[in-house]
Amino acid sequence: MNVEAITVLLIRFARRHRTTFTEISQRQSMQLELGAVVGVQEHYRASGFGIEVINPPGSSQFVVKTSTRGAPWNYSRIRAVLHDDAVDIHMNLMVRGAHDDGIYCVDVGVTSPNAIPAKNPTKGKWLCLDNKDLRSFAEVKRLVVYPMLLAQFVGIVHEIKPRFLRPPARRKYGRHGHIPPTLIVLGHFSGNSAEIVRAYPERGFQINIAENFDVRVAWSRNEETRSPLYWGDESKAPQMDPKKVAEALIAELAEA
Amino acid sequence: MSLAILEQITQELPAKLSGDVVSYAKSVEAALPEIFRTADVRRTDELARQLVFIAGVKKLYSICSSNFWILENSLHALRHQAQEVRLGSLIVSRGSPYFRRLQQLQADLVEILSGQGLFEFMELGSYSEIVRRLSRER
Repeated sequence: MNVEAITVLLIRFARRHRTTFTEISQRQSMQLELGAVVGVQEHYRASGFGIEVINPPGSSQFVVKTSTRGAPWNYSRIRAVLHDDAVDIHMNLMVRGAHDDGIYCVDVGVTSPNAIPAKNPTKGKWLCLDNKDLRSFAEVKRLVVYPMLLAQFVGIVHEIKPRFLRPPARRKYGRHGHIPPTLIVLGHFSGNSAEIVRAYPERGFQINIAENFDVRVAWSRNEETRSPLYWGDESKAPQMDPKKVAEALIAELAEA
Repeated sequence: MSLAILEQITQELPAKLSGDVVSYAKSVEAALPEIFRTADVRRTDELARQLVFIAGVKKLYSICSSNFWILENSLHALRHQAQEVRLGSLIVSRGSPYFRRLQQLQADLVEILSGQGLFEFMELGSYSEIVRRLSRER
């Protein structure tokens, strides 16, 4: 490995793309939130749900809610329907806690259908979603998975949907159904965090940790039955040959 | 040494991204004893320097790659429902200037890394495996 030659090339590369790096720095959190809501949509699609994107009135664009501010009816939502079961998927959704009057904001909220008004209500001010109408949620972080991040997420589940922290597991939630509370992370498992996650089912925790999210999304994109929130058959994907993943990514890039 | 080189490479980047690259490489540097032990490879200064350098490059690659692929895949998944996505004041589509810049960024980096024989390390999650491969190449 010629470190000197690589260094020269990378310095030139960084200089040439300085503007793009500045844009990335400003936008990567927003992009990741878009990635998370689309990831949840694709999970429902892979589970057999029909998907309908509902954009705000008068807009043909998918409008991403990138912060806690703003009324939800001014942003896009996604409806997932399977037989008589339906949910709506929202971004940066304000929701009442399970134990008290606290109000929290979840990055992706899965709600009962029509629980959020489609337009500004004429009576009173809409503050947040009732806890009973929140079916599940996802949080997204651009970090590696470390033990304290997992502890923080379990704390969030405890405050918002504590039912997922005690057995029995809810039948309709999981790999082929509704999402359980899910932590979407760009990074990999670090330290002993994978061991902590492996022990969740024994402890009665029905929560999902979707690490390496960008790799998962690329893995699932050409196969509509693959959820980007699950690796599929456990015997296959976690042991994916990284070389094959890299080759697939290069081929897709060339195609793009 | 490797950290100084990484700082040199990333000095043109915004402080946040530059900090991400260097601090990630530092975290790998701190884990070197464990990495060499797990890999069952004798530690040398040269191998340690290469590994920390690769760690920084991996972080740089993941910044470029994740931003491009998440956007690309989101546009792909939404293609039947919306041709454009609005993120705050930014409107993105496959033909938009921002999307093309991300695409070019990713393509240029992949070309450099492939040309220098470094690309195979980018998608490897295990540093023990990387150090084994580096050790075999010597």
